[in-house]
Amino acid sequence: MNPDLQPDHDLRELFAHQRRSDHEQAPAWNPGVLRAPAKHVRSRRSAWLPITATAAACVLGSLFWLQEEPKPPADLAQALPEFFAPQGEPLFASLDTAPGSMPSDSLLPAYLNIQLP
Amino acid sequence: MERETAEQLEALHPDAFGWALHCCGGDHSRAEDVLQNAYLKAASDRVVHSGASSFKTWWFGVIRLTAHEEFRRLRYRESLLGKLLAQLTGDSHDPRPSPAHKIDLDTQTLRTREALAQLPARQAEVLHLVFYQDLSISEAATLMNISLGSARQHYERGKARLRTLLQTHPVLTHES
Repeated sequence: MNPDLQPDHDLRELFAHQRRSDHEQAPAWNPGVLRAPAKHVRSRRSAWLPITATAAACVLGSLFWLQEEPKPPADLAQALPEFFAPQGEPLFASLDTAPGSMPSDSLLPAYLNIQLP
Repeated sequence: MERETAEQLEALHPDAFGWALHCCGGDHSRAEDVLQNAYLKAASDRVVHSGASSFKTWWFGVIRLTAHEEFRRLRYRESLLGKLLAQLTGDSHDPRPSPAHKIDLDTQTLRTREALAQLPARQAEVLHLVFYQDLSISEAATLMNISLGSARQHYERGKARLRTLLQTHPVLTHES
């Protein structure tokens, strides 16, 4: 007998009554249940298998794609075209910049032309 | 599975059902499911008694764990995502016990069950294991995975609270 419940006769009787009641309602023992396959385990495994296979296929596919991607040449400066090459001539060299040939306000009326001293 | 284990399981079957019933809050339908799943675990050797504790303590620990797993599964089914998936797959499951499993229990059993339901879970568990299953507090502590001191505290507080509840509400009505 359990020594922990010796002084608690009231509670002990209460639980004993509940125990008898539960035993009456308990399903009958079925020895076949110990030979039945584990239904839940199998369904979980079958659910995880395609997910794992898909994930593995994705990983392998991405690895393959990364390997196939063309690599850039080692020396980019040689491969790229030269955009700002120096021409060796000053800008607007063909224009005549002498003081006498500067454009004047020839379209203005004569009285509006200010003559500087 | 070994024949000796099968015989031990058969001998413990009524008490195992009582423990499963306690773990499932008195729901007969869920208790039967939990016990069935626990038997399947034992049959497929997913759980094996190593001899570290008594067979009864080990087996009741398996049932307790299975009940917790079942509770988590049920909570997922009741969640919004679970309901949506169930509708998509056409797998509708009513978590409530079916009317066929509503058992006519006598007043005293109902009163005890309802009083236990008002206790904190640990206190109710240790009282059930000690008084109903005739385990020692030490065995209950092992099964519940708590220290002996903690189990003793739950035991003493649970006893006092249960007595108070039974004296305050001598006859409780059962509405379910």
